Amino acid sequence: MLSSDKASHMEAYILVLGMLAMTIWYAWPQIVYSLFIVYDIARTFFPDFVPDAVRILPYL
Amino acid sequence: MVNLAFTLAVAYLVSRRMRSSRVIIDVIVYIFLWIFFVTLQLLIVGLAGFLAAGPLGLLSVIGLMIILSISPFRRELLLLKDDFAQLRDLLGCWWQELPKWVRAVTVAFLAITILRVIFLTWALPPFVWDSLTYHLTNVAQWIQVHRIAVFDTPVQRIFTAANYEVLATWFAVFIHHDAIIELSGLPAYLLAGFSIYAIGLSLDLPAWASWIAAMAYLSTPALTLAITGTKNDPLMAGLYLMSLAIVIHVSRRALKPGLDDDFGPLIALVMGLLYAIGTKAYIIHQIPGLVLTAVVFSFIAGDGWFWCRVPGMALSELRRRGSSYTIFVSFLIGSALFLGSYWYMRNWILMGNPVYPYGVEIGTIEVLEERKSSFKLSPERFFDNLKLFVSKFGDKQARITPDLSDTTGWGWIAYGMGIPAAIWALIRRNNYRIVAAGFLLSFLGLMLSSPTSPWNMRYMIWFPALFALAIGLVFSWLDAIPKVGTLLRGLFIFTMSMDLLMVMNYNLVKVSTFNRMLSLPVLERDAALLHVHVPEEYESVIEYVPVEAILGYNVFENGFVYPLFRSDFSQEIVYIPIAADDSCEQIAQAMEARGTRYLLVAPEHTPDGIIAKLRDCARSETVIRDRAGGLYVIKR
Repeated sequence: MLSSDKASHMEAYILVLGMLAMTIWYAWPQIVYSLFIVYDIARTFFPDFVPDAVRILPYL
Repeated sequence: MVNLAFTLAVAYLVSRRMRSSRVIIDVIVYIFLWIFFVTLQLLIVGLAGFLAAGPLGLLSVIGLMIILSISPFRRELLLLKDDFAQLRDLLGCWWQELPKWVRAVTVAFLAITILRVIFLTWALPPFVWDSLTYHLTNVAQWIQVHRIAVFDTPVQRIFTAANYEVLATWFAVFIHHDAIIELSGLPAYLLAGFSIYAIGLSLDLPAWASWIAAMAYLSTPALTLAITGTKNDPLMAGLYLMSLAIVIHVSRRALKPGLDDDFGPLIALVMGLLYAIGTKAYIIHQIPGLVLTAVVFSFIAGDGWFWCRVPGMALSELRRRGSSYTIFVSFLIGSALFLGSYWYMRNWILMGNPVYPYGVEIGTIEVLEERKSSFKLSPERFFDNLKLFVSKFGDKQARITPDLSDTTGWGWIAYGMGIPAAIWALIRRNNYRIVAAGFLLSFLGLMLSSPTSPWNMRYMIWFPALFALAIGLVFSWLDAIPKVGTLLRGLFIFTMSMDLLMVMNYNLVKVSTFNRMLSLPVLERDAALLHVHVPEEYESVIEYVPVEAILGYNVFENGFVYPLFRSDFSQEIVYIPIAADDSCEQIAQAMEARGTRYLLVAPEHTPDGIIAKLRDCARSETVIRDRAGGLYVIKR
C-alpha cells in the first residue's frame, strides 16, 4: 500500500469516526422523542404486550 | 384535471423554448414554470372575481382548444411522446448506474415519503400555527367569495406577499374543500430536491452521489414537516436552491461565446427571483449569497466579468432569435414582475406602505413607519439572531415540530453526518468552498433582518442543503473503500431512518388523536376538531352554529381564523370588534349590525378582558347567553 493511500485511509477513518461522534452527540434528546413515537404506536396496536408507561416508570 | 392538463401543457410549451444544455436544468425549469403558471392564472382569475371551479374549468377548456387549434403548438404537444420516451430511457440508464444499495435506499425513501405525505394529507386537517392565522385564512376567504381581495380581520398578516397562498388555493378551489391542501408543498419539495441534484452534478459529483445529496436534504425534518404543514418556507427554499443551481450551471460556462442554450435558464432565474419576492420578501437578503457564488464560479471558469456581460449577451441573443421570441420573453418577465410586485403595490395603494403590516428600520433610521412591528436591519439584531442560533444549535432545547419552536430542525443527517462532512469538504474541495461561502452570506443576510423569535429558523430550511452536498462529496470519495464505505452507508441509513421516523406524526400528534380524526368521514375532518394547537372552543362552531348562519368572532392579531370557515369553506364569518369598555348591549349591537347572533372567543386567541366581559354578560342574564364553551349567542 502506498503511503498516500494510508494517509487517505486514516483521513477517511477520522472523518467517519467524527460522524459517529456527532451522531451520538445529536442523539440526546431526539432519541427520547423518537422512542415516544414508537412507544405510542406500539401501545396503540399491541396494548396487551406493551405495558402502561406508568407501570414501567418504577423500574427505570 | 382539465386545469392540470392546461397548466402542464402551457408549462411544457414554454419550457420547450427555454431548453438548456442539461436535462436536469430543464426539469427544474419545467417544475418552476408549472408553479408559476398555476399562480399566475389563479391570481388573474381571482382578481377578476371568478375564483371557482366552473370559470377555471371553462378557461382551461378554451385555453386547451386554442393551443390545439394552433398547428405548431399541436405538433409540439405531439412531441411529448418522444420527450417521455427519452426521459424514460435516461431514467432507465440512471437507475442502472446507481449502486445496488443506493437503489434499495431510494425505493425505501420514496415509498416512505409518498406514504407519509398521502397518509398525513388524508388523515389530518391543517393545524400549523401560521397556516391557521393567515396563510389558509386567505385561501378560505378567497375561495368563499370567489375573489382575491383583502377583508376585515384583526390578523394583519393577511396583507403579506401571498404567492404561496395563491398556489395553495389551486389544491382546494376545484373540490371546494381543504382535504388535499397539504399537498400544496409538494411542487416546492420536488423543486428543492432536483435543484440539489443539479448542484451536485455541477460540483462534478457522479449522478449517484448527487442523488444521495438530494435524498439527504429531502429527509431534513424542518423541510418535510413544513411541506405538509401548508407553510410558504419550502417554496422559498425551492426557489433559492433553483436559483443557485442555475447560477452555478451558467457561471461554469463563462468562457463559451454567447448565451446560446443557457438563455432559457437565465430567464427562469429572473422569473424565479421575482416570484420569490412575491412569496416572501426575505429572498432579497439571500441574493448577495447568490451573487457571490455566481462571481466566484465565473472567475474560476476563466471570466470574472462574465455576469457583467450577461445583459449585453442577452440582448444579442434576443436579436438573434427574432421579434417573436422577444415578445415571448417580455411576456414572461412582465408576468413575473406582476407576481413579484402585485402584493406590495396593493398594500402601497390601500395602506400607504408596500410592506404593510410592517415598517422598515435600518440601524436607527425608520425608513417606513409602522406602529406595530418593523423589519429591523441592525447590528444588534444580527448579534441577537446569532446568539439565538447558537442556543438552538443541536436541537437540544425541544422536540422538532412544524413551528420549529427553539430548534433548527436540521435533523440527524445534517448534524450527525453533515457537519463533519462539511468540515472535510471545506478543507478538501475548492468548488464546495465557493458554494459554502454563498450559503454563509445568504445565511448572514437573513440573520441581519429576521425576527429574533423562537420560531425564526423556519427561514433557514434551505441551509441544510449545504450539509447534504458535503455528504454527497464524502460518498463519492469514500464509498469504494471497503470497511469505511460500509460504515458510512450504515450511518446514512440509520440517520435517514431517524429523520423519517420523527416526521411520521409531526413529532407531535398522538396515535389517539389520529384515531379520533380517522373515526370521522374524510370530508368532515375539520381543522376546528384537531386540538393540537386549536383550543376546544373552536369545536363549538362545528357543533352548534348552523352552516347557513353568519358566525362572528373576536381574536387578536395572532389568533386562529381559518378553522372557523369549516373544511368546505361553507361557514360565512365576520369579525366583531369589541372595545374594553363596551357594554353587553353594545357588543350585542355590534354583532347584530354585522348580521350575526353568534360570537366565538377562545383563550390565548382572544384578549382575556373580552372573554371575562362576555362571561359577565352571560352570568348577568343580558341578551348575550353562553351557548357552549367560548360560543355566545344573542337571545332577543
